[in-house]
Amino acid sequence: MILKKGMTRIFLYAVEAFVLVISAFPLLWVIVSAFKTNGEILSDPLALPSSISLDTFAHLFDTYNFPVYFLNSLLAAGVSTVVSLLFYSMGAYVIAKFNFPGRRLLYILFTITLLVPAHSKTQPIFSLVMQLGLYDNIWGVTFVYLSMGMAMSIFILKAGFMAVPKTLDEAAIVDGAGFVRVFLRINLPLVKNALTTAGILMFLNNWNEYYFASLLTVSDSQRTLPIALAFFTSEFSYNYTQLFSALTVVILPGIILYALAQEKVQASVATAGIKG
Amino acid sequence: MYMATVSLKNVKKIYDNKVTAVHDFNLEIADKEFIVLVGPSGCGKSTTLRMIAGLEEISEGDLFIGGKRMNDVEPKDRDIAMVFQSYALYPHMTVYENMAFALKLRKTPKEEIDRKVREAAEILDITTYLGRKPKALSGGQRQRVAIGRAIVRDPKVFLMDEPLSNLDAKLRNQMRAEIIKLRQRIQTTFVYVTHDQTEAMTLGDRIVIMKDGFIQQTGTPQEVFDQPANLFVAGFIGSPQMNFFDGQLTKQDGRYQVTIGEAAMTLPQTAQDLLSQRGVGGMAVTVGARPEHLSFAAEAGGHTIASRVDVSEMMGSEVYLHVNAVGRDVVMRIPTTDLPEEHRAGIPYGTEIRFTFRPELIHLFDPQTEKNLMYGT
Ligand SMILES: Nc1ncnc2c1ncn2[C@@H]1O[C@H](COP(=O)(O)OP(=O)(O)OP(=O)(O)O)[C@@H](O)[C@H]1O
Ligand SMILES: [Mg+2]
Repeated sequence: MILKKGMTRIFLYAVEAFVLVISAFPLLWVIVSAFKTNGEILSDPLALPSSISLDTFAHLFDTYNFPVYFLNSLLAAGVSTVVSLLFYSMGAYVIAKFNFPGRRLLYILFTITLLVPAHSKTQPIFSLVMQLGLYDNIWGVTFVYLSMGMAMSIFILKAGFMAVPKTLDEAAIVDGAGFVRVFLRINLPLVKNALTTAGILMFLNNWNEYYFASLLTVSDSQRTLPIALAFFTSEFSYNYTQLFSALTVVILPGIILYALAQEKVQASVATAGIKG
Repeated sequence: MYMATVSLKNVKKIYDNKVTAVHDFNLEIADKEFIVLVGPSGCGKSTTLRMIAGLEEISEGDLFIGGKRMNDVEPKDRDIAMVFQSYALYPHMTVYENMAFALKLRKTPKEEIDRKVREAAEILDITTYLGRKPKALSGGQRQRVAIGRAIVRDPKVFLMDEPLSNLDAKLRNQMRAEIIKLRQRIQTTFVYVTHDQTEAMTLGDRIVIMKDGFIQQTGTPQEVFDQPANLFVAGFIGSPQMNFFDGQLTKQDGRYQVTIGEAAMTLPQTAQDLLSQRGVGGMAVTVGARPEHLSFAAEAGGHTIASRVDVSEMMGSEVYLHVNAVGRDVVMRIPTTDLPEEHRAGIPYGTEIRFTFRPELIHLFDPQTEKNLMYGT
């Protein structure tokens, strides 16, 4: 019995270690390589750098419009995430807590967007952005990103709101809170985990988004990081150090963000799994 | 000063799925009265309370608070406070913030909020926990905070839905005593829901006993205990439960007599008067006798009944004696000092004993309508 338990445990740890290695190793490798010289990378891909220098990063920011790309990415991913969180949380709240005719249909319509590939919406999105006069404008990209994580976010947020007991709403109503206050003062603070999760997933998705950003921008000043990176790849061709340091700049914010909010994300994914 | 009367007139609740949870509910609650709604699970207590609070729409009938019709008034404008069974404390706020929430919404000045919260915390003995989150409190402490959140508001009407049912027995007794004290300090009207008849009896000025959405009886604890309107109330109020026997009511020469098995007894004068006023004739009846109103009979004859002991439960100062008589399980509640010397240590299974009724303390019910033949309405 005890032996069996020990075996199970060893097996579990082995699986965990395996998952950890295959998911973390490439990231680490990219970051470590950013500090190595081109020669080091080519001669011994797995070795640690001989010296730590931030020169390549400085060079990157000096030579290219890196701060602009960075800000564009931040703007497009950040603004779209914050604004859509606001709207999606309102939608998810009403779907989770109120009974009205057409509630199920509405929820299905929201989530069914999961089944429609984003690329199939290219044509309408393109014309819409053109007509709004937002072509080759980072705000046009931001605008498109607004709708990207809808199904998933509503799903996560709805589960979060459903986990907030109805009696809390009622207590607040008796205490004198109206619809808006019950939402803002009671429910919203209690779905912090779901908000963080949906927010991070949307942010990372938009931070890494390539297709629409490349479709809707042409000028250098409107580029996001993934677009810039695509240009680097051809430009740097054999300068791997430059390439890896650029990659590091792109992936690091996501890793940091996720690390900071990791607990909340886990908690929320757990409730979504149980109550979704 | 405002009179916080509450009046429900022909109030009815039909949920959307066509369930009628409350039928034709009529009740006049006086200012500062403590009313307890009691009944088994699903009888419509919470529904009634929630209609008073405004959390549930009233399907038919009228609700008045302080003389004003409230059917269409928002909960926040009804000047009521409510304590929920699950406490419903806001988990993201400290105890202080929980208690201050309603006052803040009312734009009460900060100093006044502070004074009221501290005052309530003092009364409830939770001052030391004001900075804590509800998660870090025990059940009893949470209950106090929930009550505190209600009393800071000085509501006209205080509504409580089974506030003690999540507490263990000891804490429940303690909190019950505190609610009695609290009630003397904060003079408001209370509507209190419970399924526990002991709570109802000890707390209520008047008790409303409900079953299946109908009021069975409304009265003071003494009234519902002494003059239960029907079999249900008789069985529900009092612990252990009232015993019921099949009997025969006969009228000879204008005098009523009751026979149960071999026992026959003539009813006392008050019962004679009540029955003849109501024109009750000879009929089969259900006779009710509370466990404490049955006693040992030394010898046979008169209105004694033979029985066999099943179990005797020693409770300290009294013994609950479960016996089998006339094909029924009967419980007797006997002071230990009344037991014969040889039975003090317990009465063995199968012992033959006789017991007797006290004719002035029996209840008579119509087996068909289940109504009390003397007091039913
Ligand atoms: N939201 C609802 N929709 C439909 N039916 C309901 C709803 N709430 C309660 N009911 C039904 O109404 C009846 C009365 O319910 P209520 O909650 O008032 O009972 P209660 O006396 O408070 O019971 P308990 O002691 O279990 O709390 C029950 O049959 C219940 O199933
Ligand atoms: Mg209830």
